[in-house]
Amino acid sequence: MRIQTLLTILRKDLRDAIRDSRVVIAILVPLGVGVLYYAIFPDVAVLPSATVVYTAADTTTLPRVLTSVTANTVHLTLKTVATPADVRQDVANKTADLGLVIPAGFDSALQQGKTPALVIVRPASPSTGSSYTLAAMDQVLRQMAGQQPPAMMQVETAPSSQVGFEALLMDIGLRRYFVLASVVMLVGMITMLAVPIVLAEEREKKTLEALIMIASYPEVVAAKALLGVVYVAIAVPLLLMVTRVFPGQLLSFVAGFGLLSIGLIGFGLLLGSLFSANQLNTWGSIFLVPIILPAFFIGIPIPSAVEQLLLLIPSTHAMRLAVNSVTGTAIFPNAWLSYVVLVAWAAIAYALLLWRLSRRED
Amino acid sequence: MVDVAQPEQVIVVEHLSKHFGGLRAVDDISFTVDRGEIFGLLGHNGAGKTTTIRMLTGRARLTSGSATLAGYDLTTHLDRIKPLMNVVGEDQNLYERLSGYDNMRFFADLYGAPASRVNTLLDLVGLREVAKRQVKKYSSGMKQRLLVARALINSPRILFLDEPTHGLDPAAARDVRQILKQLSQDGTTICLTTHYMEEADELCHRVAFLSQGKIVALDTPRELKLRQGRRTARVLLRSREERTVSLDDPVDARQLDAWMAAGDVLSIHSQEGTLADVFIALAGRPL
Repeated sequence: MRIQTLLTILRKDLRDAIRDSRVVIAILVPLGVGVLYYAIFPDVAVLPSATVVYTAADTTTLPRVLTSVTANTVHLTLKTVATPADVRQDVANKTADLGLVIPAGFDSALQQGKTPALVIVRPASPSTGSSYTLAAMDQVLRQMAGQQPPAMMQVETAPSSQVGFEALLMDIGLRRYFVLASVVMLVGMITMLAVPIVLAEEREKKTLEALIMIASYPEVVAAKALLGVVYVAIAVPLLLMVTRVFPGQLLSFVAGFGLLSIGLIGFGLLLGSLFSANQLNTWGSIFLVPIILPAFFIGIPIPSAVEQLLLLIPSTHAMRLAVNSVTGTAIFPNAWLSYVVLVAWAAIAYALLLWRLSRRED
Repeated sequence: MVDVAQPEQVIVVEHLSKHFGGLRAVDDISFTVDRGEIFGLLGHNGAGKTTTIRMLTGRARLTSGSATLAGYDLTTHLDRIKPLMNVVGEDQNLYERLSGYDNMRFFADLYGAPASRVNTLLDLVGLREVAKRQVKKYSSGMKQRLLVARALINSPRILFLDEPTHGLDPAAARDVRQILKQLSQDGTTICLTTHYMEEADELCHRVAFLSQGKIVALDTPRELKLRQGRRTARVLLRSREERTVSLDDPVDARQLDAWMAAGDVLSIHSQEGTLADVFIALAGRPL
């Protein structure tokens, strides 16, 4: 493998391929999608929402205090109804996440140090919002009673194999989440469309015949792989800069997407050695679907079997590493598993590619 | 150590075969090509010409047999042979989005040739004026000339050409033939295939006729034509009478002398065969 030959072919490819509308589209579309997500989604973390229905026999400050206490944790909607029966019905019908039945003289009883009864109606399957609201009730009542909290609580999230989508979005926000999914799309389209098209075109137009008069076929293929790496190395930082998404843990971000790119380039080159450029427009897109979609699904409540299936796909793991990297916390535990899966896919891709190269008559 | 600097027999092919499953595309052929010689491979489509060139240029594996180019064994020293040879294939395989100059410059860089050679060769094939134009805007003839120029970028000692004048207008074809003749005179060994018998006759020092993968005849065009042609002459007399005389018959020879002495002869045409006649006789059908 001669470096000078590789670089010469790479220079030619950089000048030639960028004039190919298919290659340009494969790069610009995900860039555009990423920018679109940046524009339409707010740059805030998403709070869980909860609708609290209540009935009060007389005037009470509880709803106001509750709103104040949960302001940073729950997007609260309050609704008053006439009777306790209405409260129970709304919660049972799931038109409310939590119900409160506030007795007469509640506020004054609290202030006098008595212990008035407060009925809280919760659904059989509480939402995140209702759980957060319920958890805030103790602080609400102490505040209304004029008591100081007995201790300052620090809440930590324990690692879990399953991550709730709402919890995920709370940490990363819709904008950053979808921009990261766009990065996966960008890497997928460069590696599974642009790169194989460049190789397939060399074969189809027989320019490969002229190339291998001086270069070896593996050198040509390696140059195309380098082309993919260069495109990814330029396009991904560009998208991140435009969308102002900056990974807190850069090393794991680069490692995740680097391994994903290297593996997918191997598969892309395999496709490029098997299909014509026209066939790639169809087949490349079909193969892209299982690569890109998992990026949009991580953390979404899905059946366990589907989730296990997604764990076999490299882009799932690149996305998990990217989310961890951007948030700076291990939202997705077992990062080592992600690296193992990414390395395994890269190994499979290049083993298949080498097998293909060995079968080619050159 | 073998001296491979300038062997007289630049291409040595021995019992070369190429099989695709049960199909014998090339079947036990042997020939040699000397330095500076233009050697023609002639035959129908599917006769094995292109497959032979593909094997000799390292683009197809040999099923059996051996070949030596510039003193190097093809199967073991292809990496040493590659810089010494080049090829003009049957396809116009150029980077059409790049300019003519960029195409040439790319291959100059690959072969390690000086950049100045690009313009020299573009001048040689008359494309200097349009060198900055994208190749997709070139005519077929211009592309073919660019292919020839590209094949010369590494000053090859061996040049393979597959239908080098295919699709060219007569003037452009003549220019390409002129370039090939000059290269041959300068010592470049040329192996070409062509469907044009006149071209083979004009260019080639020797030709091999291939049929069904085998060489069915190999000699100089003149010898092949003589072998195939008749030793007769057609004589047009002043009386507008046309007579055919045998060159081997003493009676006919005396008659010819008499006509000449009497000034009765307007023209004499030998009945020597053409390469096309040779081909039909050998292959049973015209090209």
